[in-house]
Amino acid sequence: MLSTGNDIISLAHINTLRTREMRFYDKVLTPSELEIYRAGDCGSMPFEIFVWLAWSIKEAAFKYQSRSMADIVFSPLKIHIQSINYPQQNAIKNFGRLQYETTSFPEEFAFQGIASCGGAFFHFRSVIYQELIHTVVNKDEAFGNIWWGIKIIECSDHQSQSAEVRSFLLKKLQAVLPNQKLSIAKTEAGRPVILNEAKEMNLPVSITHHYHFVAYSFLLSGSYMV
Amino acid sequence: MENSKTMDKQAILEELKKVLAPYTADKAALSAINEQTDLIKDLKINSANIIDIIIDAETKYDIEIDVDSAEKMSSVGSCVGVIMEKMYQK
Repeated sequence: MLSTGNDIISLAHINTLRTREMRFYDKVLTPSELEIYRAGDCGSMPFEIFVWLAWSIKEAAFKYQSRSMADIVFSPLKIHIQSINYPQQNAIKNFGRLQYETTSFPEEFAFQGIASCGGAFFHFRSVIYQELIHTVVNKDEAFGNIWWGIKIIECSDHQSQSAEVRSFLLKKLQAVLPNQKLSIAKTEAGRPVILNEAKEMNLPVSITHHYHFVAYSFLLSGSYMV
Repeated sequence: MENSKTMDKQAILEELKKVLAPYTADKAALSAINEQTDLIKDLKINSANIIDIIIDAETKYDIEIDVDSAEKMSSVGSCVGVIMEKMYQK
């Protein structure tokens, strides 16, 4: 089944001291992931950023899987990051804008690698700014048909986050797929789906929010390719 | 730190409200919780805070919550169940 998964973390709202405690990171990182960090593969990345990068990858992979496995439970230690490759431009910059939308992930600024869960393998791309970490997970290594966006919102209450991320996604979908009556609905399991004149489209989407950041990813394939 | 084996389910549920309070802005939903209340869907707790809640519960009840037990902690009732199980295993 086609799917997509994405996750965003507001770095101003992580608890740095707690993240560095073993009782915290032992619930996120497997021994082999800890070894990836200790081996220096992640350069000068602060440990707490590495932990939340791993969390973001795992949460995005969970969302990818949950589209076809309704009863799946998020368990970070059961999702294994196999590799993390640094981008060419790995200096962490400011996000520096109100929103950003694009397709694909240019190699020069995206972290990339492979994660696995229960025998299934996923490719991920992550971007890290001073303010945030955002990850998108895909089944294929190529991300050319993946669209994603990040937006800063004014109010961070749950209702605003939910409304803003849906509006943000829908606006992009309407631009990419004009002349269609698109809307967003939610399955009983809480998964977002796209409707065209009340009929569910085979167009996987994923939404995420954390404090003042909202983000989406979607996969265009087959007849929806633009 | 609570480690009495005599704490009943209702007492743990009341204490659990205090553990959950920092992680939800929906105070009305928090005051009305019952065993069926879902942490993410009903209390709107961000999934990024679930590990904080597990650690706070471990500290409060002086217990260790393993991976398999942590997986079950999606509702208030399952949280109470895991806490009681771990307290009685001590």
